Amino acid sequence: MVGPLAFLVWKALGEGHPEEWWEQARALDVFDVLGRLLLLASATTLWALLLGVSLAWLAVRSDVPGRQVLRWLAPLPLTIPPYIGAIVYQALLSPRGTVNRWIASALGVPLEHARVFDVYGVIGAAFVLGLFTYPYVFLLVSGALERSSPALEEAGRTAGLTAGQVFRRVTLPLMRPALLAAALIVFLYGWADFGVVSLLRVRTLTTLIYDYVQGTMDWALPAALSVVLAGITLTVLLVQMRALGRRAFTQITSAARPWRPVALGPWRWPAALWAGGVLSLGLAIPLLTLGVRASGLGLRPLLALLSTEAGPVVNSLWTASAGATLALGLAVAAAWLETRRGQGRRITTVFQIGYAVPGTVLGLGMVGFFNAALPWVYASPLMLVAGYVALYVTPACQAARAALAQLHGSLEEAASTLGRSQWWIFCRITLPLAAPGLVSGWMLVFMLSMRELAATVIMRPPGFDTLAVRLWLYTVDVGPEARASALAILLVALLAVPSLLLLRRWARRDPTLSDAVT
Amino acid sequence: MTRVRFWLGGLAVLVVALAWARLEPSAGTESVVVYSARKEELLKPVVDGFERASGIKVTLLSGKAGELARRIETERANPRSDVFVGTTAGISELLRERGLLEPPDGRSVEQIPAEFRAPDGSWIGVTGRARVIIYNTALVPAGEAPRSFFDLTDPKWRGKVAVASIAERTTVGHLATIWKLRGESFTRAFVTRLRANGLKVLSNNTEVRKAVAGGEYPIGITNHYYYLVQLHESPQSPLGIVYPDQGPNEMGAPVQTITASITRGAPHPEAAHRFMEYLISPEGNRLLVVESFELPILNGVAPVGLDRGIKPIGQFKRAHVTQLESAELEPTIEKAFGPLLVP
Repeated sequence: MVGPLAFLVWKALGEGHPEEWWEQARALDVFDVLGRLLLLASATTLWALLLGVSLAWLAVRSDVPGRQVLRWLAPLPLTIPPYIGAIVYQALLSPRGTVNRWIASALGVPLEHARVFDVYGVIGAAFVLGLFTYPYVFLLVSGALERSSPALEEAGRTAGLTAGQVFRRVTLPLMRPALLAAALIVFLYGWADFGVVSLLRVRTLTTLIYDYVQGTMDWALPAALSVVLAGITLTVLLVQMRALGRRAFTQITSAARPWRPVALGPWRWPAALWAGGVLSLGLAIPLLTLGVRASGLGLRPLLALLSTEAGPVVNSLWTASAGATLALGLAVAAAWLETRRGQGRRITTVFQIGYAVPGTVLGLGMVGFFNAALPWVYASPLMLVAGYVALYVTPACQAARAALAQLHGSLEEAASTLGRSQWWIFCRITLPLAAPGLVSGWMLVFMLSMRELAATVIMRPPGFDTLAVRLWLYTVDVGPEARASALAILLVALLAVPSLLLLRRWARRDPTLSDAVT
Repeated sequence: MTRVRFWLGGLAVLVVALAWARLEPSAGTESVVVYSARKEELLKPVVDGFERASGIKVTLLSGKAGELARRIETERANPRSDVFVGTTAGISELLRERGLLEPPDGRSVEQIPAEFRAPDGSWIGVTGRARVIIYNTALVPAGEAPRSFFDLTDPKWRGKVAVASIAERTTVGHLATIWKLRGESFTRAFVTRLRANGLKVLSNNTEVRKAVAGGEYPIGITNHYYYLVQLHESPQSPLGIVYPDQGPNEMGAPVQTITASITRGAPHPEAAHRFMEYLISPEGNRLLVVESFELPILNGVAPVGLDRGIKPIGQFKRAHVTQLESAELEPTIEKAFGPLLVP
């Protein structure tokens, strides 16, 4: 983890000429780019918060029709990687896209006058990013809402506050930890994203680095930019840690009284419409669009495509599995140290570096680092596995920590007094009891690794592509888009399995998932 | 108990998968590793043809030229690639200067005209691509289409011209040609005026051809084969092509070549040589020309698209710049215009 970053710093300082950097920075409008990146990340966060909080409140607190269905469907857009969302909305909302074409033909005007929607640019990118990351907000906020007691809010209502005032003055402050955590996840996501901004033509630091890496042999500039990007991201992460403080987990026994849903009155159906609209945008429309485009391929070419791409699918599956297993292993060890021995906080902090560093940067650093330090890993799929571990060990740690912390120590103590060894206790008691939470963590890392794009593109060995990379190549390569759509559906289908399992677990109110997502 | 078994089962699958993955490469058949900056889709016909003709398996890594060259340099001590295929000569020349290419043993080299290869033959041109103007025939009547790249700074084309970013080597090569023939200050002024005239920089040439065919931008600066690819994909596309700067005192249309080279210390040198020879053999070269719409630079291979307005080399005025001259200027161009020509 530290190795790749150190490599980048070394390259930046060694081969670059610091005097030139200021000139180049100004020529590249680096401050412009950074400003744009900040704008994008902020807009994404606000949009995701709006979607996530509104849907969470509606699903948990209100009497909106179809509440149960909403609760189940709302987190599902998480299954669709944002860059696939970008492919869909690029096709639909670009100036020459489907929607503008419909408007033009409906109004009977030529297309040039009917450019109502233009998805390219910061607004479009924020729209897409927020749409496919709001489930993080939804999961955290709805979890917090469900676990909190209704007493305070009911007190507010008895005291004469309207529903809106209760929401602003009681509910929102109660949700603040969850809101902050969710906002930071989404912010970092928008900040580090590569796929969406690249497709929707937004010039951010990640695309700048990528363009330089792809177009030139120069190390100094991309390395310098990467260090800057990583530095800022780490700062944001440190701010997060300070803001949230040290979290103590306790088992919350459910002494809550059953909820009385807030009556929406005349707002019932508008609210239902809103929820339905969000779900269409995040779920129905993408899947439908991909399906329609893929169906343009014809059965025989489709089967041919699937057989050629079978290799990358297998590659994706096993590198993601290996990554998830290794990451969980590390995470369990670190979490055990932390919860049972009170040590190892620093290790998990180091792990956070990998999570904070954007995929492009990590890929770049790893290529250089492994080739210099461990050549046998370089140019083998193990480098991809190492990359996934570095990127996603943090969510694994969160899941492991949550799973282990929830176990009451008494069982382990009892075994200890009976004379069993630490190792036996761990294998026969701790692991089996913590297993559900650990499995959730595994599936989460698996999902994230399967869809990882930015680092994989840079690190992949010759002849070894993953499904995400193939999808990407088809999208930017020459060739009909139907094939990219078909592969996109395949990827979403493969992701749906662990995703649905995870969400079913969450629906049964297992708190470890919400914590893992943080 | 079942949980533990689940974990053990998963671990076993993992181990088996890893083992299988490691075993697969050393499966016995001869192979050659090709790093290709050329889009995979367009190189595939010749790769498949080679595999059929020789029985040698090709492991292809496609990516952008800079990224691949970076890998080759990183792998200097322990080379993993056999052949590097570039979209222009610039990166190949950089590799040659850094001593990363294998000087050939003369077999393939003589066939290639001297202007299309490195002086010592370390890299050779394989097929050519002409830099052209494509235009949307529904938006621009044929008579009004621009006849020169330098017409595009005219206010009547304000905001109507699209080009691929500097990340595409052919954009770099194009500017290198202009720089060589007209000098630094002219080229800088040209780019500045183009940008002031609202030049739209798109990520790559595929976006340019789609944007022009779709009417988003009436004019595109791109390589000739994208015109044919677009027509192949949608035969009804309202697309026209112009070979610019053909007048008696004008520059001529720039032509760049795909280059191929063998990496120094390649793991499979014999297979690498055979692949190179296949690329410039009549059979292999023809595959590139016919399937990927390239311009042939070797005798004995017929071009395609003549009925669509494509002209073979020798039948249009070509900018007089050798691949080497263009290649040597590419780093300068990147430095000068890198920040200016990004999307």
